[in-house]
Amino acid sequence: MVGSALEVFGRVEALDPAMRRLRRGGIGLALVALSGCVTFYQPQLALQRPVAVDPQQPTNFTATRVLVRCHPAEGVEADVLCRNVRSSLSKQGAKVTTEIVRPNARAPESKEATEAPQYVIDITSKLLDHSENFLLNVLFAVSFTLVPSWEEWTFSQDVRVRDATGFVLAQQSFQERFVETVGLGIWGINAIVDLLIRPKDEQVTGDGAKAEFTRDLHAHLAQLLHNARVRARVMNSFEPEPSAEAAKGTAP
Amino acid sequence: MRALAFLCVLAPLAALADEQPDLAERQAELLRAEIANQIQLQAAELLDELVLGWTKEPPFETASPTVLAGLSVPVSLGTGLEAYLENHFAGLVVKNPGARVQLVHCPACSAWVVHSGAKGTVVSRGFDDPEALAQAGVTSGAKHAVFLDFETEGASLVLRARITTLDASLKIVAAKTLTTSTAVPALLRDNERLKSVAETRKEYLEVLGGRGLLVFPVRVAVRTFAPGFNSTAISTPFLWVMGGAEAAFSQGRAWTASLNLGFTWLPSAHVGVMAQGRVSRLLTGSSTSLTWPDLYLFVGGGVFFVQGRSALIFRESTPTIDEILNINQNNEPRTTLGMFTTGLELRVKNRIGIGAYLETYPSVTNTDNIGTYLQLIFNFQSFGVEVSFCF
Amino acid sequence: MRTAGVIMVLLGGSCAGVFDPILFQSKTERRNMDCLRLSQEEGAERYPGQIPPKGGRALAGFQPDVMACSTRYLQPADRNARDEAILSTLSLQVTELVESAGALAPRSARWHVDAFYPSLAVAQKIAVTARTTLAERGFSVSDRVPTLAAGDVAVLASLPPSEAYRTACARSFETKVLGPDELFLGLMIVDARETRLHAGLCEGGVWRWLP
Repeated sequence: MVGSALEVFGRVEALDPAMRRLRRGGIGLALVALSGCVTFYQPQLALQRPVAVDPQQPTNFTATRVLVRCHPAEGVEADVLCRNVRSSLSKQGAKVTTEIVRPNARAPESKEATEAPQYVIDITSKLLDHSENFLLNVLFAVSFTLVPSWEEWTFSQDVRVRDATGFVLAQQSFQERFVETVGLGIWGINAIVDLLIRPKDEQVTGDGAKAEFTRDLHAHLAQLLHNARVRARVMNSFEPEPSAEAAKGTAP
Repeated sequence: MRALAFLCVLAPLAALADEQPDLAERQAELLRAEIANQIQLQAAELLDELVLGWTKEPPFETASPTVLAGLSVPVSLGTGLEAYLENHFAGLVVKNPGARVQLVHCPACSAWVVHSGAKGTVVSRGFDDPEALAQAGVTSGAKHAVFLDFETEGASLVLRARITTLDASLKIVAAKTLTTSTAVPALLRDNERLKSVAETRKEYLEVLGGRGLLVFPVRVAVRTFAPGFNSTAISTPFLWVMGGAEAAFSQGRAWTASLNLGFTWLPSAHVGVMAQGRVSRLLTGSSTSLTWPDLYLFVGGGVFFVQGRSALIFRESTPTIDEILNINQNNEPRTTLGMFTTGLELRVKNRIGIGAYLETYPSVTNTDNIGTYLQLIFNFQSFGVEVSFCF
Repeated sequence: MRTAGVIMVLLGGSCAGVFDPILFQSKTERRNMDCLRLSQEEGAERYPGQIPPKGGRALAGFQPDVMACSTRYLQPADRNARDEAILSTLSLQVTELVESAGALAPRSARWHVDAFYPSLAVAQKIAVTARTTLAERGFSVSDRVPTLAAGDVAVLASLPPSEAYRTACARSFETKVLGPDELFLGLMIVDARETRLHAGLCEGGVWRWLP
């Protein structure tokens, strides 16, 4: 492959200057088109700890009503986050409603006003750091992506689980970093290594990083909610949780 | 042919794929071994700090016979570490009598005892039931018991030490929690002359500061020129001895600049001098390492003057035999050339280094005698290696 | 050939200290670190010789920061998931509970501490952490664990947590295992899948769960 590319470069020398430029431009575009990105995910705070709850169990939160409130921030898609969390908790048996908390917005009317949530999960995401290297970006452009460019994001999520009265039952902060490199060279090498060597859960091309982060976050959210439920039981002297019918009677 | 080369590259990779689970397991084992060594050193470090604290603020007014009642290591680690730490602790206490802890041997204290009384039969360790031990007369005179507990909490190693009385109340009379982490290297203090972390850090900073921003490198280099395509004359390698001064722009020595003067001499061949300036950038991090070699990339420029037979090689035409053999001592050929240099230097502890470089001589383009080693943006006609010693 | 050489020079130039170490780490290594963001000054203070002090960029008005990562001592798979989750945050959890207990109890009382956890080794760690933390805060702590008679223990083992601790507390005072100026702090989990410790205080025969 390399030999062919070099032969092409060699043959370019013998062509008409205009054709030479056209050929070089075409090769450059081809390199750009063939390049891809490789994302590395690094859990930094709490996300790498193990959990005791299995988020694949469909009976973890049977008959539990949860309101998930996502606070948007720069670089964070709160609606996507809320949607994914709802899906994850619903698969574990919870009845989930979601709310995107917009600053200076009116409190939305609850569509299911008759069933007050037993637990409210507040997720506040923040972009802590974003950096890239200007020199590498220039080299990336000049070399038609053979030299990779590099960009890094560090996010945090502050999660609080409260009961219906607002008492904080559990809270945890998470922090993670994503490093994305773009370029034909680095993508090509990693694609080959992924194909031939790395097991599926270690692959770095494609959406592996995103999937790993999602798995970690949802597992910890499930654990946090479980801890909050148990704590609520203890604080209420182990009285059984109020049923949905009882909640209708005490809805705000 | 190309396809075969491709296959040759991919075949080993495919073979590696078959060993995936082994690779991951081996990687995990290597990591565990590395961390196991670190835990031993850092656990010993925490014991050093504990005993140092006791020498400064003794837990007792006078030396008290104390039994080491229990030493527990992190959950999932083995008893080998316990034995090592017990010995280390005993050594520390013996060598630091100022701690006023006198270790005594009391096998019954850590053995299981069964005590039957009016309240019932109680099975416990000896130090949990000192009354039983006192009745049996097997306390060995110990008045206190010290308990040491180690646990790993993420990247931190925590030591919790407590001293209790050996009587019915088992009151805790002294307790201390000490923490270290994998990011902090063990200080490896001498048991007999324990120093505090602050003192050791001060010494460490003094060593760092003592490195200074200015060093004086002495380099021995060999410089060769590529033979010309059609030339029958080949340049002799030029052996240079260079000395100069190098300044770092920061304590981390990420950027340095140097000015060097060089001298070359080969009997009956040439004599020459050179002046060269270089700017170097550290590639292996943002500051030099105390434990690993540092790799620098440098670029520079200079000028060299050479006189003698060897200077004939820089002429445009090939030198004749007569010219090579019959040098007029009063009219030796001489040449002055400018050059640009780029290369890599691997340096250890800022003391000794080895480097390789390529040079381009812009004015040496129309000569048959000098070829090109590498043609990039510039034509690199010269290749050299050097060894440097920094003072 | 010339172009390939230019690209190699560019590649070499791009290696000048800008590649993140994460690119060369395996997934196991990436997941086995605790990382902390510090300003460059704090980093130079904590790790002299490894992190240079304020450089030209900082003087020019940029605020460079440093990420300091430490490898965890044990890999998550080395211990049971629940044990690892609790032991990783042991100091934090126990300190919170001890401070909560300390605020509610008289200063002059003598404390007894024990932990109730499925794994004896971990229970011991929890109890030791609590005793040491209380003693360091100046409370009078005994290493003795109050024990009830075997028959009482057998009955208590058959009760649910909601009843067991309350009953044990009352029984301890009835049988004078605990005196009037003694307290018992118990730390435990009440659900097999939780990773958060609970605590309760037994004072004067009355059991109280701590918030």
